[in-house]
Parts: sequence; structure tokens; C-alpha cells
Amino acid sequence: MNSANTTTNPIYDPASFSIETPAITTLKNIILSWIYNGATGGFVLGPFRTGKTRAIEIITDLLVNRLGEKVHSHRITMPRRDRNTVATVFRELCKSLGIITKRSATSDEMSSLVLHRFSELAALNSTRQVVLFVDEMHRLTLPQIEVFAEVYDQLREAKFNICIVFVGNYEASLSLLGLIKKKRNELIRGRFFTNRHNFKGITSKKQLRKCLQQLDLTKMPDGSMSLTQHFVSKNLGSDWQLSSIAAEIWNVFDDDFKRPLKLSSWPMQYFVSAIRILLSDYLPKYDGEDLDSLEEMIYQSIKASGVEPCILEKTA
Amino acid sequence: MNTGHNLRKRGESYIGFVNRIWIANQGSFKVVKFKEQDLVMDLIDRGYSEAKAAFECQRGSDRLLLKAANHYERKLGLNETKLTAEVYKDNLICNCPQCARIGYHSNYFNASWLNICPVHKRPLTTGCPTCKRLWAGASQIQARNCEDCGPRMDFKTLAQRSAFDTGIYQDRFKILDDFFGHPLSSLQKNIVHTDLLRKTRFVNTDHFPSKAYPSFVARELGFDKSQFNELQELNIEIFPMEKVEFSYEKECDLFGPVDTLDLFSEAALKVRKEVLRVSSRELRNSKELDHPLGHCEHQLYRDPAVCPVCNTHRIISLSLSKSKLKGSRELFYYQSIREYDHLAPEPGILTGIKENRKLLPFPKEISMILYQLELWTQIKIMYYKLDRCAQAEIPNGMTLIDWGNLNPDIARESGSYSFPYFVTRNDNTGKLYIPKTFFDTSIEADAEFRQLIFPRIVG
Repeated sequence: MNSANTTTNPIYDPASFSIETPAITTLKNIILSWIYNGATGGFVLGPFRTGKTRAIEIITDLLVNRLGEKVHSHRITMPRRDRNTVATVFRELCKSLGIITKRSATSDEMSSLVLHRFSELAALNSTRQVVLFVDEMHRLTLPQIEVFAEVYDQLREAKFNICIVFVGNYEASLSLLGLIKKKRNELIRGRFFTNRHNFKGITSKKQLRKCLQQLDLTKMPDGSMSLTQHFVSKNLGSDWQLSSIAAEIWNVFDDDFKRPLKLSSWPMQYFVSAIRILLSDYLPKYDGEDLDSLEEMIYQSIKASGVEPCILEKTA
Repeated sequence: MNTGHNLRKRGESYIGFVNRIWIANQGSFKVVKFKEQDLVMDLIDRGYSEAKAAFECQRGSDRLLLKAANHYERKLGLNETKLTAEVYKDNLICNCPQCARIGYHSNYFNASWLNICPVHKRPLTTGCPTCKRLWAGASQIQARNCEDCGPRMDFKTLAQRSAFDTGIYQDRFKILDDFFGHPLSSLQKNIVHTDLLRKTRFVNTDHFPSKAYPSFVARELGFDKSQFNELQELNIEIFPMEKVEFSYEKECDLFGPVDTLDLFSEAALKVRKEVLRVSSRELRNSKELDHPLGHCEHQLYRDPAVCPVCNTHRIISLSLSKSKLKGSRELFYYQSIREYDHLAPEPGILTGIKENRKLLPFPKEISMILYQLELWTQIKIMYYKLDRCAQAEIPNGMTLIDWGNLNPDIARESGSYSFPYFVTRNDNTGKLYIPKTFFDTSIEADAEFRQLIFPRIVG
């Protein structure tokens, strides 16, 4: 273990550590295009642990309309409950919006509360737009999705525009999407399920290099040095960049994990985990010359990150 | 809680404000019963002057109100054509039926020179044509079931009635505003001041402010949340209270969303609630207060620190809450601080301070007016206290704070105008005594709080 003070390095705090990856930039541009074009909604699908929720957390503060004004957005994570009722959705919406309701509040009352809150958010920009992200959409039932159609309709009647983006896991959402495809559910499909985006982890060497560059640019909390230099400045010098070994990392991942395990992309959680292990445990011992040992270090890091057992379970 | 600011329109009165809050928050409030404390405000709604309203309330205005209500109901019920603003202009709330359908009311409607709604060009009435009742005052409006004049309007109904179109109100009421000048001009000031008194009614409602709401507002509107935290981190010297006995009025639940600053600190809410519960009833009834000369001014208001006649210190001041000062006491209170009016700066000066502060979750204009008036009242009360406390003996065991280090603004900002404090003043310097852990967020149980603030009482 490196002697560096690990408590201050942001990479050890996975819950709050984040970098803007190419996938997040793409997702942001897609959602901005939906806002610009007045789309009523869309859905984002992707595998587990690829960082969809984190991506949306980052995007939430970056949305603007065509005039450059901030478009306020709200994110709700749908929970699994014993009874998947319409009232559950409204209650969760109220809860996430910070509205405390009476225990006896009806769906009508809660609906009114939620609509008022969204209309207030929408009125803060001149195009009267607001965005709602519904995370874990695969936990919803069809009648529960109709709740969002009602929210959309009623805000529309009051001349406010809401764009509702559903986010979920691809395979878990298949059964729900199969229902939505049916002709009798045209109402829902037309509103929210015409725009689709597939969210992926890291898929190419170029994307990997960009992610590593982001890590190189990330500074320590005190601003003294970068996150990379904090670990390797003693043995590799202060100019060494993590992105300089992007090709080696990608080659090891591609040869030893991506192809044998038939992965479509490198999920962000395992990527960050692997880089964390590599940076803190292996690279401080690397002399900068022995390529074989470097590749072995990378291999061990990726293996320890947990990407392998996850996929083995899946393929089995 | 929703602010309902999409329903807010220019020229809105306090009745409109309360109605708007009820409409935007259906399902999160209990229905509030009509309370005796609201009588003053209802009388003011009906066009009484403050003094007269306070006087009538003191005499037991429930009978008077009942009598008046019977009278008007008979008039209204028998003949609908008498629903005109002209007849009872001076005593009743006037409103436009079309405006009432979207939850709107303006103070201009009560002005004697206005008989037609500027927006809908229809005669103003004193009652609802649908339910044949008088327009509800701010205290009764939540209990109204009428779908035209009560707050039971869902979002869909409001959308169908075009309640979210604020443009036309902006244009029409701008004309009136332009005519009468600045919102805080002498004419408007009167109206606003009445609104300030009315706001105490809102204090009496059962209210469940969301913990997350301040941070929600701060985040969504880009406000600086760190300023809230600074307020809570104020650490002021603590003092043990003098031996005073208090009784607790359990039935009172005196806090609410109108004192907007209090929304930011749950601890401040709790403290304020507790402090307001404390009544100095026993103190007022005790014989010690009887002055040899006879009737003592001391007994006329709630929180005297010193008998003005004999200059002897009696009690730590407890509460400046206007809602606890009923009737003639309230009147006296306002009269007594009026001599300090000249000390208040021009409204414009505070406007700058207010805008820099960026604290309030309610619509800016409303908050600003409420805040300004509250602050002036507070400063004047402080000066009044300083004068009354001159040459008072410092009670044993109290710790001093240099008055120069604590300006009235901070005292107001630090959570409420009802925290317990005691003030003395010498020639050039004054001293203020405040509990140290007033902003301690760990205050949880009532007993703990009492132990903290009144250690000698609880034991």
C-alpha cells in the first residue's frame, strides 16, 4: 500500500467521485436535443452498473433551453413496493419533491401538489420547460406509467412543458417494453417511448483515453497536485500521465476480458474500481520501463475490480 | 410545501395570498378551525380600523360578528340583487366573482373608489353568487367548500379557468399601481401594514413545513445555502434566568409559514414554538406588580422588563410576538413604539440589504414587504426596550454582551422576534442578554429545551 494519505484522495470516495465520461457527454447532448426539439419524453436503457444514475446526477445541473436559460429538472428513483399502485407513484413523487402529505391524502390531492410543484419549476424559464428523470423504470407497471402521462397532460393544459425521461436496465425492462409496444398502449408509447438512447460504458480505446485524461485533470481537494501525481510522483515523476498507458490498459482489457467474456462495454463501476486499485496499489511500485510487469499489474487490477465474476454469472 | 407562485398575480391581497397557498398545498394541511384569536383580523378584513377591531375584540366580538353575519346573511339570502359593493362597502370584503374563481383577491377591491373589476369589467360583490355566502376572510377560506370561492380547486380546474395567465393582471393592476405610486407609498403602506397584522392568523394554522424545502429552494433557485448555516452557527453567551414562574398554554400552536425566515431552521421553529407557549400569566396576576401609585403600565403588555414608573426590574422579557398581544395591549404596544418611527431608515435602504441576503423561499416581493415591516417593528421595539430598561439593575448571574457587537438586524435574523432576551442601556452602551445555545440544533424534547432556557424553573 502506498504511504500516501488515502483519506484525502477523492478516488476513495466512490459515492461522490465522478468524472465526465464520453458516454455522459453523449447522453447530455441527446437530452439537450430532446429539450430543444420540445420532445415530450424518451427513455434511456443500459446494462447494470454502467453509471446511468450517476450520469443523470451530473446532467441534472447542466440542462439549458435554446435561450441558454437553465431548465430545472428533478430525478425520482422508483422503489419496489408490495403494492404497485398509482398512489404509490404520487406518494414517491411527493416524497422526493420534499412535500409532506397527510396520511389520508388521495391521489387527486397528491397529483395537484405535484403538478403545482412542477409548474413552479417550469415557470422559472421563459420556455416553461421542466425535465423529470424516472430512474429504475423497470420497477414500474403500466398503470403507473400512465400517471406520468397524466402529469404531462395536465401540465400541458396549463401551458407548461414537461419532458419525462425514463431510465432503466435493458434486460429488466424488456417485459415492460413488450407491453408498451402493443397497439392499445399507443398513448404511452407516443408520449414517452419514441426517443431512445442506449447508454454504454467504455467501448473503445479513444473513450478510455478521454476518461483517463479526465482522471489526470482531477485535482486533489487542496488543489496542490492532480489525483494521479498524488500516487506516482515519487517513482514516475510529476509529468507522468495516466492517459499515457491508455493503449496498454485497453489492450489488456480487450484481449483478456472483453473478447473472452463477450462484453459490449466496460461498465464504469468496474473501470473506476480497476483504476483505483491500479493507481493506489500497483503503479507506485512501477519503475516505468518494464512493459510486461505493467501489463500484469493492469490485468490483476481489472480482475480484482469484479468485472469477471459478474459476467460469468450472466453467461452461465 | 408549494409556494403557488404560478398563481400569484399583481395586486394580490393577503386573502389572495392565503388562498393561493391553500390551493397549491391541498393534501398537506389539516383543516383549521376558526379561533378566537382570529377575530381581530376578521374585523380588519371587514374594514374596521386596527384600533376599533382590537377594541371590539376585547369586548368579545364573537357576538358582534355573529350579529353582523346574521344581518348580512339575511340580506344576502333574501335578495341576490343586493350583492353589490355599494351597500356594505365599508364593512365587508369585496371581490370579483370571476377573480374568486381562480383564487384571486386584491386590496384594491376593498377601496371605496373601485366598484368594477379592472380585469373582468364586472361589478364587485360582497358575497359569492354560487354559495350565497359572504366572501371568506383569510382565516375561514380554507374551510370553504364552495368550488368557486374556496380553495378546493385542483390543478386541472385552475388550468381550465386560465388561472396561470398572469399577463392581464400584470397590465391592469400596473395602471392602479402607477396611479398610486410606489408600493410602499403612504396609501399602500396602510394596506401593507394591515396585511402585516393579518399575517398573525396564518401563524395559528397546523402546518407541516418540509425539512427539505429550504434546501430545495436553495438548490433550485440558485440561492446560497451556506447563509442559512451561518445563522445556525451563531454562538452567543448563555445566562441563567432570574427566578420567574411561567405557565404553559398547551393549546397554542403558534408557528407557521408566514414568518419565512423561520422556515430555514427547524431548531428555530421549535424554539419559537416553545417560547411562544410560555405565558407570563402568573406574573401579570401576581401582587408584586401592583404599584403603590395604583395601576401600573407594566400590566398592559406582555414582556416588560422594567416598571416605567418605579424603574425597578421585574422580569426577563419573553416574547415579542404580536399574536400573543391581544386587544388593547396590542394597541398600546403599537402606540408605544410609534414614537421611534423616525429612527427607521427609508424603505429603499433595506431593499438593498434584502436583495443581497437571498434567503426567502416565498415570492420575493411578498417576502420583502413582510420582512421590511417586521424588521422596522422589531427595531423600534428594541429602542423602546432600551429606553425602558435604562438604569435597571442587572440581575444576578446574567452574562453581558456588548450591545455594540450585536445590532438589531442580527437579532432579528437569528431566527425569530420572540426569543428571550433582556436589555439594559447606560449612557452610550447597551447590553443584551441572550441564551447561548439558542441555535443549537440538538434541541429535541420539550423538557430538554426548558432545561436549557429555564434551568432554574425546571430544576
